[in-house]
Amino acid sequence: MTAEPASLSRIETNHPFRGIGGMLGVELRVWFPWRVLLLTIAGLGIYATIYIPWRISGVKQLGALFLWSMALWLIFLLFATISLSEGTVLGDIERGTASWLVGMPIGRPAVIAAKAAASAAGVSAAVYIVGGVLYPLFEAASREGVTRFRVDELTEVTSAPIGKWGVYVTLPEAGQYFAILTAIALLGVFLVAVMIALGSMIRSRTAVFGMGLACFAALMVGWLIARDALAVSPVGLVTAVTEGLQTKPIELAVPAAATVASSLALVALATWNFGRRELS
Amino acid sequence: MIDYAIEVRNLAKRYRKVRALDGVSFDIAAGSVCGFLGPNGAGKSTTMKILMDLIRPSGGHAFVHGHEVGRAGLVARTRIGYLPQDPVFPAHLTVRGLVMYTARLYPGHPTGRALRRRVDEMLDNVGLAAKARRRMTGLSGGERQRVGIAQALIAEPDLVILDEPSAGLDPAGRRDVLNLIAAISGDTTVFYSTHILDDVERVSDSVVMINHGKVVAQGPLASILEASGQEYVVGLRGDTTALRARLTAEPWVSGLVARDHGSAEEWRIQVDDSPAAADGLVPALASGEGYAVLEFHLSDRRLEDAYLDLIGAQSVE
Repeated sequence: MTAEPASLSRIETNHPFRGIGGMLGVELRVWFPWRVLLLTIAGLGIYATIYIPWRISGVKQLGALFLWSMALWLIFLLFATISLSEGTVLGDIERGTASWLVGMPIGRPAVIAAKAAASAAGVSAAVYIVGGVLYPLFEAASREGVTRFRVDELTEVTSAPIGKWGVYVTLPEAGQYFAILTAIALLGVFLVAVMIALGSMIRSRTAVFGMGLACFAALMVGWLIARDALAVSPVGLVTAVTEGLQTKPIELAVPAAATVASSLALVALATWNFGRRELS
Repeated sequence: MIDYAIEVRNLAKRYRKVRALDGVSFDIAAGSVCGFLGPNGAGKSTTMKILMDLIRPSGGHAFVHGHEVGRAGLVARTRIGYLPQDPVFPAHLTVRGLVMYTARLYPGHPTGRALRRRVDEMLDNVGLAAKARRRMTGLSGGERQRVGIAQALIAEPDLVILDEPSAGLDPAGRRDVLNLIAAISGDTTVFYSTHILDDVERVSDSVVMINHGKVVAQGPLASILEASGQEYVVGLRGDTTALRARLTAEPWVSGLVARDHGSAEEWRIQVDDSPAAADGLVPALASGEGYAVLEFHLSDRRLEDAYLDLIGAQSVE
C-alpha cells in the first residue's frame, strides 16, 4: 500500500474508546444543567404538593410527608428516566447526528459509553440533589411534628390506602437515607442502560419507549410477586428502597452489584449493536 | 512513486436486491482536488460513507493513506475531515462550541488561546464570525452547511471528504466554499461530490465519474475532456446536402448536429480522432460547391459535454 505522507506525524490509535473525553463533555451538556434542573424541580414539586396539604391539614405526621414524597419521587424519576433516555441512541441515528459523530475520529464504543455515563450521571445527580434538599426539610419537619406515627392515620392527609406498608414509619438515619438514595439512583442507571440497549436494537422510538415502560412495570411486578426470588437483581433495589423507607435494615450491596453488572452488560450489548449498525 | 490519499479496489455494496456499488475502483493522488460526479443515486454518497466507515462494503477494499477502512477506520479518520450530505449537528451546541468540539477530537489539536484563535479564523473564513455564539437550531440551511465545512476543515486534515458542499448555499456562499477548497489544495487532498460541473472545472484537477454503481471515467480533468473527443463548429449557407453526406461517412466523425438559423446553418461536428479530423475536415469543407463557409472553429469543450457524453443526459442539476 501507499507509504505514509511525511506530513502525517500524528498520534495513531485505533483504541475503541478514543475520543470518549470530548464526547462525554458534550453529552454531559445534554443533561446538565437543564434536564437535571427539570428533574430537581419536579422532585421538589412532588414534595411541595404533599407538604402544602400537610401544613394546611394541621396533622403533624412526618411519615405522610416522607413516605409519599419518596414513593412518588421514585416512580416519577424512573418514568422520567425512561422518557428522557428513549432517544439516547435511536434519536441520534434518526436525526443524523450519529453519522456526523462517527465520521470523526471517535470510536463507536466511546459514543455509547459517553452517552451511558452522562445519562447515569444526570439521573444520579438529580436523585442526590433532590434527596439532599429534602432530608433537612424532613428533619426540620420532624422537629415540629411527630416522627413516629401509625400508617393508617395517613388517610387523614392522603386518603390513600397505604396501611399495608407497615404500622409505623419514622425518618431514617442519614446513612440509611443515603443508601435509599443510592438504590434509587442505581435503579435510574439501570433503566438508562435498558433504554440505550433497546435504542441500539429497535428502530422505532415509540417501541423503545413502550418496552422501557414494560421493563419498569416488570420491575414493579417482580417486586410485588417475587421479591425474594429476585433479590439478586434490580428488583432487590426496589425492596431496599421500600424497606429502607420503613427504617428496616436493608441489603444493598448484592442487588447494587447485580444492577451495576446488568447495566454494564446492557451497555456492552448496545456497544456491540451500534458497532455493527450502518449509519446513513 | 505516487502517494495516494484514497485507493478504492473493487468496492461493492448491495442493499438487498439493489447494487449501489458494483466493483468501483479508483485512486486519488495526495494533494489533489478531485470532483466526484454522477447522477442522483449513482453511488457517490455510498462510496463516501464507506470511506468514512459509516457503512460496510459488501465486497472490495478501501484505503485512506494506506489504512484500510474498517480495520483501521479510526486511525484513518484522524486524517479526514468530513462533511456529510445534509449534515445534522447537536442542536444544543453553539456554532463556536461545535467547531471547537470537533477540533478537540483530533490528535495533536491546538489548545487554549491557539485553539480559540484557530476556531475564530475558520468561522471568519466561512462567514460565520458574527454568529459564533448562536445555537445550531437558529441557523438557516446554508449557515448549517457553512458550519459543516468549518468543522470539516478545522483540524487541518490531510484529506477532506465533502458530500455536496455547495448544496443549499447562495452564490456568495458557493464562491466562498470554492475559495476555501482552492486555498487548501496542495497541502490537503479534497474529495468532493457535486452536481455543479462549473465548480469542478474551477477548482478540481481530477475527476471520478460514476454511474449505476460503476466508475465510467477517472483521471485528470484535462484528460477527461480530451478523451471525450473534440467538437468543431461550422457556419454554412447554401446547399449543404452533399457535404453532410460526405462528412457523416467519414470514420472520424462521431456525430453531426445541425441547427437551422434561417438562411444559415450551424453544424456541430463531434470527432473521435483528432489528428484525422484536423487533416480531413478543412479539405472537405473547401472542396464542396454551392455553399459558403461563414464560421469555422474548434468548440470550447466543457465538462458538462463530457459528462453528458459519458453518463447520458441524466439529472444534471
